[in-house]
Amino acid sequence: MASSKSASTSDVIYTARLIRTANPSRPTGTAIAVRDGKVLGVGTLEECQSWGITNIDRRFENKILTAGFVEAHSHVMAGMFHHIPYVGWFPRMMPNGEVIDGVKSTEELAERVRDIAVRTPLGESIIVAGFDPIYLKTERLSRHHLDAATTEHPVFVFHASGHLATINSFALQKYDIGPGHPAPGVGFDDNGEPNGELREPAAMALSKDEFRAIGRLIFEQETVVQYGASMRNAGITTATDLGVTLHLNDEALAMTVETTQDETFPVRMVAASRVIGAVNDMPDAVERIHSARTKSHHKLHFPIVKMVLDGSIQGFTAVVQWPGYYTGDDHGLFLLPPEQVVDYLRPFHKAGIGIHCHCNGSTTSQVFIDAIEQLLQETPWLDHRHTVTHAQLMTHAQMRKARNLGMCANFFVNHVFYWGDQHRDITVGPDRAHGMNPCGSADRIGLPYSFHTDAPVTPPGHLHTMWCAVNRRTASNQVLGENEKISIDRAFHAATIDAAYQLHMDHLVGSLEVGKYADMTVLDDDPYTVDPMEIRNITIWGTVVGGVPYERPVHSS
Amino acid sequence: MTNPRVPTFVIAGYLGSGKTTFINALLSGGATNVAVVVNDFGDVNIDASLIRQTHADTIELTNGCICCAIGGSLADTLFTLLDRPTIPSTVIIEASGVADPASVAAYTHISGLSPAGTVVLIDASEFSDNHRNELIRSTLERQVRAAHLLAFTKTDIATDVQRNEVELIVSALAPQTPAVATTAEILAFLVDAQPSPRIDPAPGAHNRFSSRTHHFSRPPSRNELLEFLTALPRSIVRAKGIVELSDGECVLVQQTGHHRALSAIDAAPTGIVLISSE
Repeated sequence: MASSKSASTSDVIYTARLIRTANPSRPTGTAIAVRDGKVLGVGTLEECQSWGITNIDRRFENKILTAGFVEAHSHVMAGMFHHIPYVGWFPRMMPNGEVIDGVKSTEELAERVRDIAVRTPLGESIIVAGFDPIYLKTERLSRHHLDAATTEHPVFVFHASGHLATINSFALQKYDIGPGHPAPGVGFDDNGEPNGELREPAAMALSKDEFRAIGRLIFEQETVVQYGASMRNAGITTATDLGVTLHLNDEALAMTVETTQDETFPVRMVAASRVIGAVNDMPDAVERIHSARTKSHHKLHFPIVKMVLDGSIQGFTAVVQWPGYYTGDDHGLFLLPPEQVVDYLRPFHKAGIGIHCHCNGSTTSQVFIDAIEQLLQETPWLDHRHTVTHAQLMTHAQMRKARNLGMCANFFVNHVFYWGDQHRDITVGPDRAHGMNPCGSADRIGLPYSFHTDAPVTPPGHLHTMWCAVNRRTASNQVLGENEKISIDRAFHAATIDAAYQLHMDHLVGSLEVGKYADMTVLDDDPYTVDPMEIRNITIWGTVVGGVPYERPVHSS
Repeated sequence: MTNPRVPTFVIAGYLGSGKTTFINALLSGGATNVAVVVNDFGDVNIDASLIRQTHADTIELTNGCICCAIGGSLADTLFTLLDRPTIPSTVIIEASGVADPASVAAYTHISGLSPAGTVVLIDASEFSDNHRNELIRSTLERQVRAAHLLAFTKTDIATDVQRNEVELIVSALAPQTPAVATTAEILAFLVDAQPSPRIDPAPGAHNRFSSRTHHFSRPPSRNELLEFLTALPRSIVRAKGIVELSDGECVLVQQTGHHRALSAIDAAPTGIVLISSE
């Protein structure tokens, strides 16, 4: 065999202002040599050239290259804003790179809908999404605001929370929703007339065609394509679609395999099935994952499975320990019978499949951790890395026990910014709110963790999660959890190698080490040296995945 | 004219309360053209000779029934069911053992369906022990509160103490809700509302059921009909039938426990079948 020092024509060296590797042995460099899509070496240009490579690509000369960001919990629905106009409060980048301004009032929302109506054939549905009234100071959205936009189309405004939709009078009439309609979740005004609000999916489903149109998106190839684009724009090089039923469906699996194989698909994807069914369906689900793994390739991986144990904190459906919620009614809802959780998980644990379990509440975190303890006693597996995902209200005792058992946490740290004020004032009260998503404590305890965006729930991208973890600022710019702040160095590792670790992918991605994929996030500035409050504002050029640059499309506004 | 909405029941209850036994009994009993929506096919056990065709998430039976597993979302499953060329005469949704039956019942209002009530099954031999478990107490209580009709199962293997405890807990939580002690087999006929010779007096600890058909001597007004239904004793656990009103309109009456639905229907009057427990 020829010496590996004989260069091949596809070898390339990228130079940069600085490269941050997330490899503690060699944390920085100014050049990276790439061969066969893998890291040949990081160091100085001279060191890289010593491999005999003459092909030097200087396009990143003034950029910061970092180990590619790894998102361990998002959803392909993040690609939905390609299909459905975005009308949220915060400016948001669309999959095509265009940044859409935030909607700051109900009137502005009506204007956006009116603009869409003039180019939509009469009678055809208008669906918009991401509306976020929690920040609005204006009057509560009702059908009347939407009627001002159009009386000739059904309008369906899907709110950011996912728990509410508002429809116009045309849609109310279309579905025969009038005064006294008996369905729970239909909102009425003081005169007993429907106000257009449909609370929770069951009521939203009354607006049948629009509701179904949204639901169908998950199965469309274009949604996966746009998901990849969104991740590229956000600088993500490995993205986990956590909790699709995709690969229980042969057709959807084939679509995902085909889409990710396309060389223009810009992100490495981890597809984690959310398994549904009865306990005795689980062995079959294990077989399905084994069979999906035979179709994996360098950009599609099936290392883990997803389970969901409860709901959301802001929806009061997470199951929380004593004393329960701070205000509001406790609707804490188990999604699996707690005593059966261990039976659900057993087949995956025994088969060596990593388990990521959605636990927003402290009760469900406990149930999951206890189940893992039992499974480890039954079937030792020293390297399982089972992960509590969301993990927002994990207690310190739970974190110590999870550490002892070899588990990980994946914190939903974006909550500090997006809903931190509400958690402090409404859902769990000040004490627990300060300790939510406790990265600092996890470090003190020694529990490995990552953090996630749950995109499309919050916009994809680790600059924002890192900013949250470092600054702990709420939307009203107050510090929530001073003692849970972490350093930028810890945040960077959580967003890269530690995320890869909990996905059982750290031998492939998460740091720039010899032999691993040459996956990089390309930034205009260095998150380590900018003002910490500016971390989230750093411009992302795009990514390099397997040595191939994927540039974010730039829209001039 | 649009199709009449399909009466839709929700069957709920914690693990072991007999939901699956009930569904198996219903599908292989006398039911025809009933659609059952289950969380999974896990324990559904249908006599092979009754199976006409099996797909990934549906099983079609030779008796016209269909069993669907919830693949993605309940709404999608129901919409897909209603997209089929044959509209079922009754839909029965099995809620998962931990589900809030009220949030499942919310789906019975979607286009094409009409709510027919929530029946919550209670394992008389396990309920009081489960209720002592803090982890699941609120789940159980939520289920009891959401019921229009409570059905105690396994009363024959429950001890007297267990039976007394469960009755105390349940009557404190839902004092107005009719409750019956029954078997899954009989319950299948209750929600299917097929007056059937199979509603025999059950042995032992179970209630005895009887059914009769009430005919009005002259078409009642809507108010008179409502008064009649309201005045029914609590032992009437189920009422169903088509009644011609004094204004000539025909309405379908569907009453399950304390859940009542009246809907206009284009069909001949049948009188009201009343099923009572003793």
